[in-house]
Amino acid sequence: MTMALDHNINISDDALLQLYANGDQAAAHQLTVRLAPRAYKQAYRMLGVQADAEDVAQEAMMRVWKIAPEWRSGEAKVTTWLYRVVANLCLDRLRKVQSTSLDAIDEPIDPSPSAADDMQSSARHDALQVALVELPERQRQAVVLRHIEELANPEIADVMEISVAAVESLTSRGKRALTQILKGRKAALGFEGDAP
Amino acid sequence: MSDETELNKMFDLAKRTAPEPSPDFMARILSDAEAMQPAVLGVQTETAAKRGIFRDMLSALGEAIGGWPAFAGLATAAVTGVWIGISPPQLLIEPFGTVLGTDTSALSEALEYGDGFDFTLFEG
Repeated sequence: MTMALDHNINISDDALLQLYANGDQAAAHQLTVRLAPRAYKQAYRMLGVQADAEDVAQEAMMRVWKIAPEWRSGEAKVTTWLYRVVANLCLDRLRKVQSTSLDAIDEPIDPSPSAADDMQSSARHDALQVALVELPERQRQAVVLRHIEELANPEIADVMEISVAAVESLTSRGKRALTQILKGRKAALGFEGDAP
Repeated sequence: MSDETELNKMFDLAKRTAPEPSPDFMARILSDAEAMQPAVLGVQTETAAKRGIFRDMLSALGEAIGGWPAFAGLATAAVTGVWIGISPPQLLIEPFGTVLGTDTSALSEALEYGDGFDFTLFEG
């Protein structure tokens, strides 16, 4: 299925939700294009399994559709709320599975045809995804939101419902743990020969 | 190169090469969105609300006249009235004939009917 690009960049997510609640079909389309990939990517980084990430993202989007008629504009950012829903659904899923062994993790998805041609990039991408899944849940969540989704610390604090200081602590510990996990693979990932 | 720099390079790569959701997944999400579009629910709610108001009015009327059995009495009375209008029974006509004889002009005058009016017309 091909979807049109999000041309209405001037319409806020809040306004789109309101339009959706009023029965505007274009708004349903726009919100899907804007929010669903975001939910999916976050879930994939957290879970490492494509099917699970799709399930979580679909459930999160169902909650978007349900809450639309009651959404109060200006009280919260739609994306912050969505990140929180996805994060909580991921944690629920991870706790149910508890011991998600590495065997259960999908082979990381090849990013894009052009990048996939670059074997080194692909190896680095795969290594990061595998290393992320090895992090404790909260650290993983904070690192994904900060360093991949590029949220600011106060917004991550909102999403995770913790203090900014706690976010800083989690991201810092997460990065240290990632460095440790990836240390032994430097040569394989081609970092030994990279220019400083 | 420091560990931090290497890690940041990997984060940059991850940002550029984010996994894209499949077209099937996007189609499912859009299908959910359309199925749950409040406008559809809104029409149903409005219809239900109108039905609710009508039901409330009937219920209030029923209570005012003595409950639902009273509606049966009302219906019977209405049907009887219609039936009498269409085909009046002899018993209703006879008393006028007895009192006034066949000359109903006095009654016509009293009721301001035209001269040609005659209750015998009802006798078929």
